[in-house]
Parts: sequence; structure tokens; C-alpha cells
Amino acid sequence: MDQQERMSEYSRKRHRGTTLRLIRYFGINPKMTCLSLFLALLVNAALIVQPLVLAVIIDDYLNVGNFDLDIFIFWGAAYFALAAVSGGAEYAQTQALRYLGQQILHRIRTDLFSHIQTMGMRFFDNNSSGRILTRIINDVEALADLYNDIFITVIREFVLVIGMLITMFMLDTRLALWCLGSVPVVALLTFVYRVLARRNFIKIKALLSRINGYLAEHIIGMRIVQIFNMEQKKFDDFEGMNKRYYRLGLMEITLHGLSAPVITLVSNLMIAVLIFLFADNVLEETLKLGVLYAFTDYVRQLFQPISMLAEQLTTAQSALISADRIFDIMDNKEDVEDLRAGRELTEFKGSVEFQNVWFAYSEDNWVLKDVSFKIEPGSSAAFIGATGCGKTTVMSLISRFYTIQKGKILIDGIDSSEINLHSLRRNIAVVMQDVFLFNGDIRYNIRLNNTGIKNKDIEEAAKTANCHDMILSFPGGYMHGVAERGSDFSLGQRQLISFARAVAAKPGLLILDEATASIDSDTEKALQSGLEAYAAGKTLIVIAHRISTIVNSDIIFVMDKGEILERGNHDSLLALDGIYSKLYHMSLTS
Amino acid sequence: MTMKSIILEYFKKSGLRYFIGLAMVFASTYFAASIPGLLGQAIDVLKEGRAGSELTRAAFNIGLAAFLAFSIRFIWRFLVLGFCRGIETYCRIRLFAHLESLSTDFYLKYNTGDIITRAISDVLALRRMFGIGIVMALDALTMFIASAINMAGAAGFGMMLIAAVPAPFLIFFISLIRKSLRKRQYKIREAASDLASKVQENLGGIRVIKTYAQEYSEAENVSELSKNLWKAEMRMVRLSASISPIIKTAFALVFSAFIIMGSQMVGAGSITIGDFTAFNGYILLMINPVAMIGRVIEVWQMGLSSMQRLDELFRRKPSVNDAYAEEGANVTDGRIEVKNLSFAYPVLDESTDKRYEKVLNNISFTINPGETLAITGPVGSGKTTLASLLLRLWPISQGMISVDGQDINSIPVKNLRTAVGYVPQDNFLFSDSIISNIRFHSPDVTDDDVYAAAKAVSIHDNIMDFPLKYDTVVGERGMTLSGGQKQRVSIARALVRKPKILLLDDCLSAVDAETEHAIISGLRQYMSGITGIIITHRVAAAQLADRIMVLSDKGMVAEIGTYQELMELRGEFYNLVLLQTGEN
Repeated sequence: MDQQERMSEYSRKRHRGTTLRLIRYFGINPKMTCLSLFLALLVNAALIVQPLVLAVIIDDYLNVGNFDLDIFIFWGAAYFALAAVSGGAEYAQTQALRYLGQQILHRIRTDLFSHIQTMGMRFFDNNSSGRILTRIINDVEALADLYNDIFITVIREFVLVIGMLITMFMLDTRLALWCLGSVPVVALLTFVYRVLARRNFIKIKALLSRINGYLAEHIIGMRIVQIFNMEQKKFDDFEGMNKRYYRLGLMEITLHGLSAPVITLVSNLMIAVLIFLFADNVLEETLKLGVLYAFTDYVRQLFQPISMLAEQLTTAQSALISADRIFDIMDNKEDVEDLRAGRELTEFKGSVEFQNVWFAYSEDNWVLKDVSFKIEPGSSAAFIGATGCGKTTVMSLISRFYTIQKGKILIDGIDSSEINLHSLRRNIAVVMQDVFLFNGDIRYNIRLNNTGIKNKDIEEAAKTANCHDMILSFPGGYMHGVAERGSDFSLGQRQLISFARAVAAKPGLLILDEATASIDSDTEKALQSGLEAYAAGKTLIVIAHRISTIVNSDIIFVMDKGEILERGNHDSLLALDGIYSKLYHMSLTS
Repeated sequence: MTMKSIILEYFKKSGLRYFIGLAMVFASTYFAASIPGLLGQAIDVLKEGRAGSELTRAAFNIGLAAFLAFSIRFIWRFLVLGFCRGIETYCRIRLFAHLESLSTDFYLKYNTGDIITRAISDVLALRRMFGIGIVMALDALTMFIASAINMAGAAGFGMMLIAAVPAPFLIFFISLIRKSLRKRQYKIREAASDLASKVQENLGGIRVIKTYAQEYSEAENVSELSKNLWKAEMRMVRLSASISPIIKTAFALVFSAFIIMGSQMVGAGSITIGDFTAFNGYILLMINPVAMIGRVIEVWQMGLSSMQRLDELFRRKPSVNDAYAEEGANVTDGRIEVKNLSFAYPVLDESTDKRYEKVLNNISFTINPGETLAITGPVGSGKTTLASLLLRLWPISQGMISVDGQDINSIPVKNLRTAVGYVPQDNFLFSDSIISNIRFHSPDVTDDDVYAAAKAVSIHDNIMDFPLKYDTVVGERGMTLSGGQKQRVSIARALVRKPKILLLDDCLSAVDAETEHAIISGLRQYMSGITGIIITHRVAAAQLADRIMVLSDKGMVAEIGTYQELMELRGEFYNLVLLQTGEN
């Protein structure tokens, strides 16, 4: 099964306690929670008291012949004061609640993002960025109504329903029981609705996430779509996806249209039934007409909050599915990298040793088979081999991006799984095949968020990477803006900048993975001489296809299909007259 | 194209159901409102001590009205809200079509996360505006009208006017804050875009972030942006939350005045206590729908600010277009002529008056049909720029490129790009199977064509080693291919379309020497009869070409000629050959 499908399969699991977990977030600001509740009560209290003012006037003061202006001014003013207080309280309550809601969303968002940041590469291999993005952005956003509106409504309406029921029972038990008879009907309808709506929302959210992913992928790859004239085809795909989204949306409307209105229908039918059934009692005078009339009124008042709750159910259901999708990731502990645990590397020397390492990205598909080698501190090593032979995988394993299945990796003689990850990666700088530049300026791209790197260091690094002059030739120099992914630079320019980034990080171990592939030989040569001076005393590991760039390495490993077939320095490998010497001679005869 | 024209288009297409739905609102409100009256009749029947069939009919009428109200409500909701879903979908796919038409400059200016936010959340806000925004407004309106009519009937027209005194002031107040409400909504949408852009970028560059141990500072950055969103929301709430309380308080003022005046009138005997209470009841009924206006305004302003953001995208015009195209102009033989071509990238940031230096400087050369030209030169010498101009990814500002004797601008973009097979430097594969990536939806490419192309670039055997072979899904959602494998799939994708012109931009950089040799000999067969341009740093690949052009770091032609000629020239190319092969 597609990894993605499996991920949406997760959310199909019924999560227990999602609601409770969401409510628990109110705990992050108990003061504001209490304040919102208090203000909500105040608003309600004012609403209840306002008509009472009127009742007092009518019952106690309003008589023909009573012209006492002062009394009426007093009560008029009192009424207005109450209204003003209630208005003020409502304003404050909305603010408090929205503040609280936003604070909770902020917390969930940052918790989720921080959690995702600590996920291992395996997680990112298995989940496309569009889908992860949807969870951080859209799913968190879907919770907004829950916190801004629904929780408070539910509490308020629920209290109303209970109050109404008590009043009804006090008035006439028989009638009240009859009314209660409709409860199972409502409960059943609600249950059926919930099941159907849930199923539909799971589909909707999964599809929205696909639309998001599709957009992301095609915005990034739009140039290819255009160059290959694939606009129509891609449009059809996108339209198809959106049409399906539309149909699911219609389903949502249908279900929603059946939820609250059905409850209103039930309440009205209940009134008709009450009149029909109890008319005889009224005629026999075993039931007062007033009570029957009052009951029809109460039924309406009882069902109003219930229908209100049902109305909110759609939004709530949608939010709960989103919450499940969020908690899915938060609860995924198995892909997490523990960035804080482990030993710190102090005085990093830079030795790397693989002992019988076996590794597969997915079960049994061995990418590395029993690989062993040792790179001494301060030496330079090179890996060559056909594409797909596992060179880049070796580099990923040195930085511990994946967990190996068998064998051992030692860094400075310490089992790498015992080393603190940040400490390990801070000491290793990698210049990768796929260069990635961030939106920002060039300086930021070299420094990243490392405030320890000063502007002077950045320029030093750029000089070492032979791109100082290039950078100065841009209109903004070091402050020149970089578009998303660095797409306004040529690949060669990007490689040079990412080189500078690696140098500025002052690593003890520098890994160059095809880092000069798109750089011309002249620039490469200048770069190399700069690098040699810089790398003196540091360990250097190079992956290259151009043999000319690696002949001076202290040790060269020749890889094929996940195994190291030959090892030694240039001369000894030539003497071996194996794969290496064949490759070398081929490069000469071009 | 503007947002307005697109919405109008959709209204013309299927607006009928929307208006029918809206009209039905009145019918369902009518039936719902008739229930209390019917109930009153039933009670009257009971009061008079009659029962039997008359009572049964009264009960039945209540049930019938309830059922009608329900069904009509269901239908109008389906029509109105369904229409809004339709408008949502329509806007989104129209936006996608528009995005497909926009050129490179647009994508340098707008971040992916930003565009996605607009395509998803802003379109959603639009739907809410036409849906819940309209429905609530209509609800409020019908309720208001109903209570106003009742009031006028019971207490007289004059009384109703008194009750409506605060209305003009409130309208004035709302029109006062409307603009700044929309501005604040706009800021929220912007903050949401910033957040999404950052997260999207973070996910794209996660490997670099992990390599440089930046996870915590990235989390801090995102937290900062999330806080900005929170703050923007609060700035909006501070304003919008005031609407409903202010409306209610304004009505309360009228109400208090009426308590004072009304009770004096009762005291004087000019109205009865009954009139007094009835009038109070009506005012109370009036307050509720009016207070809903607050929510309506919020939803509407949100929708309008989103509309503005979408409009920004829709108003963008493709910088490359068919304005000068001649119908039927097409690539026939593949003769390429470049005359005095100069190019500097436009500065997209309007706030600076600095300009880019010229990347290409007065370049002229010709490639004959079937001939292959290799282009080499230092980083930043304009090789890739030249390729993107040939593909018309940017408009040409100075000089001319012609193909088969026609100015490149006169050939419809579609025809030109169909004729050119392009392999980009940073190869991008879509989340799809390998076979779909190579065929790339060309209907006339058979499976055998795909295999042949894959064999030519020596990737066929690699693919057959995968468990799912050609059905292996690659790209972001699939298996990770190595750089060299990606490059070769990307070359196969270009070859399989049997182009008249083949444009290879540094596409062998990530393959080893052995594979490179195999690919070059495979390509040789493919390239016979095709005009080729090979951008490369490798002498080996350059040798595949009939002629070689060296660009200088100023973007000028330094040398051009056959391999032999350039070797004899002992210039830059000669040095390059020495550097790559001879130094040891």
C-alpha cells in the first residue's frame, strides 16, 4: 500500500478521548478560561435580568394615573445600565475567548511543528510535504471554531436543556415523560448523523490534503509542466480532484441539512402529537389548558438549544477529525529522533568507522551489505561508484539520519547511536547533491540561524568557497534576496553558496556529496585549493564522479551495489588493475 | 482576468439555483412562522370545548407546516450552499488554470506556501461569504421585516419608526469601521500566508535543517510567525467584537427611553398596559436579527479581503505570451539562429532601483538543422539563461532568437515547446510511476518507446531491478532515486517525445564516468537528425557535439568551433581539456 494511504488509514482509527484531550488545552491558561466562563455567565445573567426590570415596572409601578417620572427614569436608566454592562461584558467575553482560542491554537501549532522537527528522515521520506503542511496549517485552523465558539455554546445550551427539563417535570410529569419519549429518536438520529458525517469528513480532509500536496508539487514543478505542454492534462487532474471534493461537499451539506432541521421537525411534530393526545384530558378537565399550552412552548424552548447543538455538530465533527489527524502525528513517537539524549562530542577529532553495517530503507531491500571501513581523523577519503550504489546512503548514516539494522558505526571511537544527535551533526557539515537555499538573503543562507557566525566569518567562508566575487556582483551583495528554493540562481551558484554554508559552520568533518557536479573545472580548481587550506587537519569525505577530483585522497573506496569492492589510495588502486583503474583510464581517453 | 469576472461567470453559469434557493428561504420562513398561529387555532378549538375532527385537523396542519418548513429549508440549503461549494471549486480550478499560464517571474516572486494559502483558505473564505454570510444576512433580514411588520400592525407605523431610530447611526458606524475591518482581515490572511510559506519551505529543506542542527531555531521561527497570526487575529477581534454589543446597547437606549415615555403615556391613559408590553416584546424581537449583523459583517469582510488577495493573483499577466504569434508558425527543421542577444534578469523587488548585470552580452551564433552544439563556461556565464530564453521562459528584451527563419516570438509557445525536448539542470520528477514520468501523458508514446528511451540512457536495467519495475512510484511521495537516476529518467522523458530540438542542461553531472559513456553513445543514435544543444562542464559530453561554444564569465562568446579547431586554438577549451584529463 502507498505510504500516504497508510497515513490516512491511521486517521480512520477511532480515537478515544480526543474531545477530552482538546478540552485539556484550556489548562494552558486557567485564568483566561475562568475569566471567559465568568464573563459568559455575566452576559447570560444580564440577559435574564433585563426582562425582570420590565416585569417590575409593569407589576409594581405601572398604573393609570401614576406619573412619578423619577421612578420611571430610575428604572429606565437601570435597564440601560444593565444593557450597557451586558454589552461591555459581551465585548470582553468575545475578546477573552478568542484570545484563549488563539493561544491554544498557537500552542497546538507550535507543539505539532516542534514535534515534526524532531522526526527522523524516515518520516519525511514517507509523508509528502503537502500532506504534513495540511496538518500544521489547515487542520489546526479547523479547530478554531471549536475553541472560539462550540465549547462555550455546548456548555450554555446544555445548561439550558437541563433547566428546561426540570421545569417541565415540575409542571406535569406525564407530559414531561411524553416529551422525553422523543429523546431516543433524537439520539438515534444524532448517532446516525455522526457516523455518516465522520466518514464523509475523513474523506474530505484526506482529499483536501491531496489537493494541497498536488498544488505544492505543481507550483514547484510548474516550469516542467509548461515546458512539456502538460497544462491541459494537469488541469484535468486537478479539476477531477476538485470535482470529487465538490461532491463530498454536497454530501456534507445534505447531511448537515438533515441534522438541525430534523430536530426542529421532531419538536414541531411533538407539539402536534401533544395536542392530539391530550386534547381529551383537557376536555375532561384532568389537564389544565394552560399547562398544555405552556408545554407546547416548553417543547419549543427545549428543542431550540438541542437543535443549536446539532447545528454545531457538523463543525465539531469536522474539528474532531482534524484533531485526530493532528494527534496522529503527535502520538507518532517511533519516528522521533531524540535530539537531547546521548553523549556530547567534545574535542571532535573526526574518525569514522563502519563495522559490518547492513542497511535497508524498506525491509529486506538491502542498500548496504556488510560495509566496513575506517577513516582516520584529519585524513581525506573518497567514495566512487555507479549511481545508486549506496554512496549517499553511507553519508546519511554518518550523520545518523537513519537507524542501521545490523552492525555498528563508530564516530571518534564512540558508538554513534550513543552520541547526542545535535552534537554529532554540528561537527559534520554536508554539501549535498540537491542544494537547498532558503527564502531570505544570501547572508542568512550561509549563516542559517547560527548567530555565532559573524558577517566577517560569512565573507571568509564565501572566499574559501570561491563565491565572494560572485556574491558581490549581485545587486544586493550579501543582502541580495534569495527566492524560494534559490530558484533565481543557477545550480552552480547554489552549490557555491551551500559550500560557503558548510565552511562557515566550521565542522570537524566535511562531507561533499557530488558537491561540485555543476561547477566548471576552473572554479572547481580554485575551490579545491581554498578548501585544501581550510580542510587541513579536518576529516574530508568526498563523493565524486570525476576521478580527477579525488586522486589525491588518502583513501578511496570503490562501491558497487551496496558493497565496497576496492579500497586504497590512487596508486595502490591503479596497481590493483581493477574497477578503479578501468574508470581512471576511461576518464583519460575522453 | 479579475475575481469579479470569474464570480460573474459562475453566476451566469449556474446562479439560477442560488437565487431560487434564496427565494425559497422566504417560503420556509413563512411556514415556520405559521406554526405558532396554527397552534393558537388549536388552542382556541380546545378552549371552546370542541374536539374530534376539527382538532385532528389542527394537529395535522401543524405537522404539515412543520414538514413543509423542513423540506423547503432542506432544499434551499442544498441549493444555496451547494452553489457556494460550486463557486469554491470553480474559483480554485480557475486559479490553477491561471497559475499554469503564468511565467517564471511570477514563481520567483510568490512563495509556494503563499499561493497554496490563497488557493485553499482564501477560496474557502469566499465560499463562506456567499454561503453562511448571505444566509445569515437573509435570516436577519426576514426576521427583522417580520417583526417590523408585526410591530407596525400592532402598535402603528409611527412606533415602528421610533424603534428604528438607531438604525441609521448603526449603519454609519458600520460603514466607518468596515474599511479598517477589512484591512485587519487582510493582515490576518497575510500572516497565515507567511506561516504557511515558512512551514512549506521548512519541509522542503528538512534535510539541510537536520544536517545543520537547526530544528530548534526553526521551531522558534515558526512560533514567531504563529504568534504574529495570533496577534493579527486579536487586532481584528478588538474591532469586530464591538459590533454586536454596540448594536444591542444602541437599541437598549431606545428601549430605556421608551420605558420612560411609555410608562408616562400609560399613566396618562393614552396607551394601555397591553400596548406597552406588546411593543416591548417587538423591540426585543428586533434586537436579535440586528445583532446578527455583527457576524455577517465579519464573514463578509473576511470574504472581501480574501477576494482581494485572489484578485492579486488573477490580475497577474503572463510575461511570456502569444501576443506576437502567427498562427500555424511552427518548428520545421530546427535551425536556430541567435543574433546580438543580450539579457539581464528583471529585478522583481520593486523597492530597489538596483539592476542585475547582464547575464548574456551580445551573443550571436547559428546551429544548423541536425547539428549539435555544446555550450560550456564558468558558473554564472549564462548557459542556463540561454536555454530558458530558447524555451521562452523569459521574454527577450534585446536581440533576437529565430528558429527556422522565424522570430521565436512569432511561434506560438505551445508549438515551440512541443518541438523542444528539454532536460533541466535540477531534474524534477512528479509523484507518479516511472513510466508516467517518462511518458508524461503524451498519448502517442507507447510503452516500447519508453523502454527504448530508458535503454538509451542506460536506466532500463536499474528500473528492472526495482520490485515494481516501471510502476515504481518516485518523486516526493515515492521512492527516492539517486541524483544520477533522476537525471536519466529526466533525459528519457525528453527523448521519448521525439523532439526536433533537444536541449540538455548539464544533465550528466551526477552520473559516473562509465554511465556517462554509455549514455553518450546511446544519445548519439537518438540525436541523429535532431538539432541539439548540450550544456556541460565535461569535456567528454562536449565531444558528443559537432561544435563547441565557450561562454566567458561576462556572458560573451569566447570561443566557438569544432573540437579540433578549439584544440588548435589553445584557448579556454584547450585548457579545460588539459584540466580534466591531462593533469595526472
